[in-house]
Amino acid sequence: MRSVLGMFAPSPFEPLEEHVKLVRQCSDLFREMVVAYLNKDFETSDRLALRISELEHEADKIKNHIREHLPRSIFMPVDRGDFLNYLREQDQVADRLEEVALTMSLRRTEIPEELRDDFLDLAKKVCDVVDLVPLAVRSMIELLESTFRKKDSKVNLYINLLNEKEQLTDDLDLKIRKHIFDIEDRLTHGELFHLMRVVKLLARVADHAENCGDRMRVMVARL
Amino acid sequence: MLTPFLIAALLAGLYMAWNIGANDVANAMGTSVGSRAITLRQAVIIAAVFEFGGAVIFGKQVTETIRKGIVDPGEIASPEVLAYGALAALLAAGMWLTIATWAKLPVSTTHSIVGAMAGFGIAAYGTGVVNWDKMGKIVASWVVSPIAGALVAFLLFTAMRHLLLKKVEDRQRVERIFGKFQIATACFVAFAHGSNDVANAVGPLAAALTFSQGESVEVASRLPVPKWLLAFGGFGIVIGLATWGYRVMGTIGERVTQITPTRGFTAEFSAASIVLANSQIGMPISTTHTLVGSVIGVGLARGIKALDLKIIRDIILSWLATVPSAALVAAIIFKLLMYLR
Repeated sequence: MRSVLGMFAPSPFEPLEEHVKLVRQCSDLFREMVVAYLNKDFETSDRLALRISELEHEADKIKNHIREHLPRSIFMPVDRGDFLNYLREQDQVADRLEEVALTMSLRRTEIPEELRDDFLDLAKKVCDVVDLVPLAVRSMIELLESTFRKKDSKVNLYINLLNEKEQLTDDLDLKIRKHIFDIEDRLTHGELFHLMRVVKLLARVADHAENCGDRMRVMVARL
Repeated sequence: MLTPFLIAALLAGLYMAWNIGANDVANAMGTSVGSRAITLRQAVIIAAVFEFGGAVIFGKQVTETIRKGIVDPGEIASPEVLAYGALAALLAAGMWLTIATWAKLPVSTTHSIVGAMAGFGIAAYGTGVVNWDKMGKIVASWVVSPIAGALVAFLLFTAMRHLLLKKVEDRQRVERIFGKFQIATACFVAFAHGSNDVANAVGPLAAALTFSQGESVEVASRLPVPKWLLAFGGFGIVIGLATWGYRVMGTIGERVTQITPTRGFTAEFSAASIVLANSQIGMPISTTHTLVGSVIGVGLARGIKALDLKIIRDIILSWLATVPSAALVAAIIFKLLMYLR
């Protein structure tokens, strides 16, 4: 008989937390990058964009590792499909952060003075949403380990916060894009296109972070 | 009086018991070692004491089933043929275990010996001699016992969760307390295992010894299983554990950190209760399969982060492969022994 303990598969929740830590590092670097970009320190911002890209690549490797070690025969406290859907969303956060960072570094656009505050504010608010994801993951893992005192768990709190904070970024995203069109005559076509694109992608990062919360809600609903 | 036949039978029985100690016990005690409730050394000492105790105190019923419950020869059989048959079964089960372990096939010592006894019976006197009613019950118990293990473990863990784990604040402290409980369940599971699985070696050995005493079948099959034989089997298990099981458990202890004491306690306690109950009614069941069922039960109660259920496929494969293979090997060895006699 194969060892009974052979049936204890490696837990996918620890690598999931490793993955979300990388997402968190990406958002930390992105904050720095935006400040450098606004200060026209483009060399620093380019360097940080590349670093974010490296972290995203590492996150991808962890994602693939988790998928490879989760065949259909694995039974978990949460539904396997729900877990994998959640993982995809969490990975999308890193992907989109990388995309916006690299898109910014494509062109050295000077952000117009009247947009600067709002732009910085949006970047910070998006990162704030992203930073809620690791907190939600940690509380979900604690929920699993503590034999599910779901009522006292912070999971739902973080999921609700994700929804609320994402809403703030939506409002700001719309405001900035409207503002960009207001001053379109003073912008070159290149500047206009680049700014619109960056703001759009930035807002999308928060969308994916919010989706993480929604997927997590589905995942822990059965507990 | 030690005839060459007796020496051969004792050696074959010892080999079988060694196999049981080397493979099965590591499985039975693995969750206690895996959760770090006990050290490897403690596991070996506990197993040595309680396997032996279980074998001597409760080992008789299942031994009787294997000795004469599977092959029911009636008056026509010659005691000599039955003695050779039991020896053939013992050799076949041991060989099959070695082959299967080498080929990394999932096997159960219980299934091997039940298959081997049936195999020699068929080879000697045809299918009519096998007590199919009893065989049916034994095979049914192989399906029922893991399911029962899962059910008991599921209910026990769910009850523990609602009555205890949800109420306490200090989770670490609860786990520490259950770590202590796991020392007791490790003793319990070793005891239960000894009570059921010693029969896999001692059952055919008892048959070989009693039938070789020159009495008629009617008298020989009424002779009780001597206690010293159960002790001999228990001794063999302990030797197997100390020589080889030690290594098997060592790798387990290093690999598994996932099973926490509350989960390990639930799985072991449920499995040991079922195994001991089966020993009482003389049902030879697989301790390993019952424990697998119990672990799945804890998993179904959402107590374990990730379980690989491929093991269910292994269990079914074990039923399909082990019983006919061990039967076939036993038939061949039996014919060979009769030819050489």
